[in-house]
Amino acid sequence: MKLSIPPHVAAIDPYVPGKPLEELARQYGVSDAVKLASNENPLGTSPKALEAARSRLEGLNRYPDGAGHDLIEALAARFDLRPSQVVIGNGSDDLLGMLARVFLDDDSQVVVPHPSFLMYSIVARSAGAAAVKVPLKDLAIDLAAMARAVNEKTRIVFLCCPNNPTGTVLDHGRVEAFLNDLPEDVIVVLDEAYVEFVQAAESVRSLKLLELGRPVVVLRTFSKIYGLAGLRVGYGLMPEQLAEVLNRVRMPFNVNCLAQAAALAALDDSGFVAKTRALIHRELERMYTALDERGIEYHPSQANFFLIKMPYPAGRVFEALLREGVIVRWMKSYALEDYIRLSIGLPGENDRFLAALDKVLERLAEPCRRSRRK
Amino acid sequence: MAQAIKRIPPDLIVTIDGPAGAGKTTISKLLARQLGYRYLDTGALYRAIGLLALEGKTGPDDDQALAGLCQGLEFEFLADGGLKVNGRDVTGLIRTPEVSMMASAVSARPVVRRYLLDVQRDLARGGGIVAEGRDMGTVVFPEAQVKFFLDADLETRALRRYEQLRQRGDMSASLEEIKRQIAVRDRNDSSRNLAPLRPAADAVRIDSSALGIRQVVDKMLRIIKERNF
Ligand SMILES: Cc1ncc(COP(=O)(O)O)c(C=O)c1O
Repeated sequence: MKLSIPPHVAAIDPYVPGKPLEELARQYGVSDAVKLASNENPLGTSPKALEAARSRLEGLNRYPDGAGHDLIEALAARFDLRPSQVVIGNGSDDLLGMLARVFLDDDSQVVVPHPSFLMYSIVARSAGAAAVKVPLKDLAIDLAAMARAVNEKTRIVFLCCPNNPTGTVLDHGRVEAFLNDLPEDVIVVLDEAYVEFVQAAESVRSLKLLELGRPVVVLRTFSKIYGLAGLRVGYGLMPEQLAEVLNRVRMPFNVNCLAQAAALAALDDSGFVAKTRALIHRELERMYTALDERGIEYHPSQANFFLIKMPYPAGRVFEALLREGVIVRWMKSYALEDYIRLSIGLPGENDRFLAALDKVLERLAEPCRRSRRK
Repeated sequence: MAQAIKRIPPDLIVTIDGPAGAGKTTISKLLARQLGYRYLDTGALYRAIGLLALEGKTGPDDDQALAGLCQGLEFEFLADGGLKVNGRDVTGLIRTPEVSMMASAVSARPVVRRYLLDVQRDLARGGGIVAEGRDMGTVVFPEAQVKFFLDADLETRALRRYEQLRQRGDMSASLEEIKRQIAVRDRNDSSRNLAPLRPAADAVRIDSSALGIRQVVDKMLRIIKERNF
């Protein structure tokens, strides 16, 4: 087939998601694997959301509510905003796409922290824009360097808090100062996919930023703490004028009816949220202690995942863990070649990781004995 | 189903009272849309008076000044739930903690309540409205054809409030603290002389603790459809 692919599209490195369990079963014949690679909710899904989705199964012949009225109304009430300030997406990554379609072209630039969520660069480049990568400083977003990277071509600055994959947060006062120094027409996208897990009180209060009269977009998702990653639903909070233009390029039925129903019910399920948060915080602490005992270096995190530095080539550890039936994320594509990222699972799953890690590290420490035994 | 909806008269007054955290606001809005009714956010009226009192440096117990402040006010609810007072859009201004405090203080003054009683009845003229508040079924619209009292257990309401604050970025209060505050407020609300929070004798009580938003709205719709008007 002869296709003429625009060069800016040909240059995109495809997003590589965490390995699905099914693939591991196929490749390695491991059937009872645990997946701790995509920052999903280990407790499953909000029971209220499941019930709401189930009771919506009857009407699948009908198109969903294209405007997402009920969900938008509920989100607006939750955040004391106007419904006209809320845009819903097929996952929050859908909103990243909308932002790129509206604001970027081949003459524009975006500024992204690096490493951070890879989709920021991908959506920018798919619109032909250049992504200027600003290295993290001590694994945290370096606002001063981000500000220096802004020029007259910059249309969007992406911030991620807590940052994926490092789990660091931004200080509220510093973000406010950063915004105030920015040219007024530069859009700041604050991706808060993991905000519900944050423990640090000084972390950015995104809704306050919306009061500054600046073009700020706050992105949130039902994929993480509400456990609805598979249904795809997220949302953006922003000034009315911004929402109005995003809605122009939003596909009318981008959020399906099951997702709308489930999200509406999930929003109200504070019990499930509290349970998830308690589990994540408890298990994070337990894992830190376990790694301390082993003398393994890691970076404490404000999200439901954290980085662990491998004493051996992390790619080999990652592969060996796969064979043990434990899927984590190797951070090579995030420019953190020595690290793996562990998503917090159920206590039993985390124990599986620890046991597998012990086994793998021991084997790597004594390669000779292992080959003799073989 | 379309037929069943048609049978609901277009001019009912539906009241929803209940404590904070029971889910009143979202549920009232969704119910109003399902019915094709207007939504009356009476809390916003008290907040607007609170805002004006703050702006005019009026003491919350200066009845004379409050009465003066209330004179000749024009309230207009916007299609998106916003509120204009004398042509000024105050939607964004009435949600601050300071205004909340002031609104609570002025709502204890009989002059303000008397004044807003008329305002609320005026806004509801013609019916076709879902009125949300704390004394809708008992004091403001005793003649309303459908009354709900929406409640949830203390634990659930505290968790919802905690989560709401947290998701707005306010991590200052612990769950225990919030639970204590709500318990105190419950006691004050139900024991005060002026418009105590209690269900009207003819109100249908719904506990939202274990129900999703949609389930509560569906239940209300079912109850309304079953009535003979
Ligand atoms: C930082 C960040 N933003 C956004 C997303 C996408 O979330 P959604 O499932 O809502 O598209 C993820 C998912 O992993 C993420 O890590």
